[in-house]
Amino acid sequence: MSEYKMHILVCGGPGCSASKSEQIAANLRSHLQQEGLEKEVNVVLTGCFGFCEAGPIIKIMPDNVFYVKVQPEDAKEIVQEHIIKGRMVERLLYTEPSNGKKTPLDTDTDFYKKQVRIALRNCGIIDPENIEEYIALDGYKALATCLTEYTPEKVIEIVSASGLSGRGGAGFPTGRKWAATAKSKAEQKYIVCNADEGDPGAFMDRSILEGDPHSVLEAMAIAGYAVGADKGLIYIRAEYPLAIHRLQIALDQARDRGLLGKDIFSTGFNFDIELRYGAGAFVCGEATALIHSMEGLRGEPTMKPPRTSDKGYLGMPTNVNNVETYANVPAIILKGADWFSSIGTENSKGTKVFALAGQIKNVGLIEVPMGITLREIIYEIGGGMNGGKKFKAIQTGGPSGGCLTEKHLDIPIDYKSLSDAGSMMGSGGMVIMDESSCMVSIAKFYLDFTVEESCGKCTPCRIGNKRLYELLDKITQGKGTMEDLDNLRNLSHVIKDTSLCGLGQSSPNPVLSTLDNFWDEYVEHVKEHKCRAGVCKALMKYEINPEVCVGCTACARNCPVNAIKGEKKQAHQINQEACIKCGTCMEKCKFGAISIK
Amino acid sequence: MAQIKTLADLQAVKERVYATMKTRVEGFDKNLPQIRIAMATIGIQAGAKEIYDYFIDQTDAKQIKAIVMQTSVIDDGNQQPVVVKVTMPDGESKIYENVDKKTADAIIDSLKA
Repeated sequence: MSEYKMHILVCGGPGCSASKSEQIAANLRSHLQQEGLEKEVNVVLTGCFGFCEAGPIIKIMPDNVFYVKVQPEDAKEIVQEHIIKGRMVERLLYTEPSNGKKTPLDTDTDFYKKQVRIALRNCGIIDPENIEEYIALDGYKALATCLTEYTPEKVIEIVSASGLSGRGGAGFPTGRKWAATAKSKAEQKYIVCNADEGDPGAFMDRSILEGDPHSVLEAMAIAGYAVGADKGLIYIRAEYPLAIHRLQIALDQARDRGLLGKDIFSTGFNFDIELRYGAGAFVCGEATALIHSMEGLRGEPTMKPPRTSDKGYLGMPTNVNNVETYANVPAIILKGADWFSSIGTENSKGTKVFALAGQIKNVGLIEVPMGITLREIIYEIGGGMNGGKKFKAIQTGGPSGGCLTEKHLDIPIDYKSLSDAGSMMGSGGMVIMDESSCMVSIAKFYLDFTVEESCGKCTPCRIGNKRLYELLDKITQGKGTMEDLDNLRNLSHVIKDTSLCGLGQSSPNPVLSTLDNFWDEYVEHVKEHKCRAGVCKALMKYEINPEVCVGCTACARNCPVNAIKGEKKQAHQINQEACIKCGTCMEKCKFGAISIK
Repeated sequence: MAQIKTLADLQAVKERVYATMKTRVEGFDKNLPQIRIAMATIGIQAGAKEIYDYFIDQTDAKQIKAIVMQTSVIDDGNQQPVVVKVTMPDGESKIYENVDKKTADAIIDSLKA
């Protein structure tokens, strides 16, 4: 195989493939073929580039030029202009929001400048369906090194010294987990990968599995060697069909090459991995519930101890880590614990992948060193708020996390400072909100999710969360009392203290953090029956200003429930009892006579 | 597929495949001379594609380390018709006009030293 002169990398992540990136790749290939260039230019469908806001993205190497919002029809122009004539296609270049300049190099953009990619190191570079490309970038070398040069104790020592901790949410030190499973004596041990990513808005694990599945397989084999297990299981939700498909291909290729199976690297070490599908229940992200689900039982958690490292899958010692945690391991083995622990802060080492969502300019997937501030993430990487609106809150950690405000923007992000501030790292979802978000409704949204996802085994979580939801609903209806606010807080603490597993212990966090940080807004809902963001419909009132209204009847004719009355050329009135607050009248009024009160 | 049983096996796969991916991962090597062939309409009409292929084959055959790439009109476009611009790592550049296979050989040989 001769060397390709050029590579066109097309993002095959979930967002870009929904916008037809596979069609873009196919069109590029066919145009290249028409020009007789298919042997010189290689089209690769890669994993997620992360910059989903600007998708579909393609990147041309070695020129290092990246094009954004590419359509399948653009393929011809890209081949004709860029590939053949060497001229950049100006209109497809990315425009930096901060200075309005066209920016051809992705490394020059604000979005990528501050990122450090460890877990996502291969995403967007390699073809995830080709094991050889993973090997070409030092894939499976960490496994080979461990098996041939290190004792299992030494492997655990390196992982411990690196300071790597669980990326699924709780942040338990990975080395300690491995050591505990290694210490347990049993005939059979298991390595489990938790790919049951359940936080609304989080898609980092999915991106890693879709973009670089071998990094997880390799790390699981390393963990197997370290703790003395020869069997691995990946618990993945059936809602991730592409990730499952690519994992299956990766498993087949790894077995084919002898990198999984018997006698790996001729060292007598055996390890193989099976996939287990979950039905997408949030509680199954909890290790004991996950294990019960894999055993074919109901996905319900059990009391700890015993920890899974003593009694896990089928009663045997089991090491459970999250996808992103595993993805860091091969890099740590190859580059050393010192390298990894030099990145990040005193207490939190390495990097973290976050999914940026909400009302900011650049939504997408980012990997940043621990210790970066929320301000840097929102205003530099995220490009600031959309539509010039004002920042109000950032929700981190999903349904178990909390809402932070302006005053928290300069705290360095690590496990401890986030939990001190009343939120948590979680699996890495970040939802950024502007002044058009009502914080009571946000808390209600997350409670709605937890009520739905509570497994029902323990009373505080099953009944307590439901009651919390009802209180919040009452407040958004304008029927809340100050006593309700006290009850919200008391009940939240009871649920936190008495629930069986992490789900219930953290589910009141969105309520508590909004009570702490947005107390005024709760009081406004209760005392003034007012929702300043205009989100709570029951508290909204559309009113017609009789001095501005000319009586054109446009509003009355368009009202779906005939709630507007008035004579032609006379000021109209809205019957508040009948009004369903759909906002149609305000849209239809050409004179700006209707406003929300 | 052949099984990978030793670190050396793994290294062999790595080296073979990495060679095909090098430009993708590293971008241009800034320490190599760059040979740009003008491939605008006139250049292509006058056979620039053939010269481009010839450069690729010959640099490979003579084992000259250089980046061969296509570009559009070179500088102001006054030169005709097959134009080649050679840029050395120190930034110095030279433009050749009416390049045919003979001139191409001379250019490649000049990079040998």
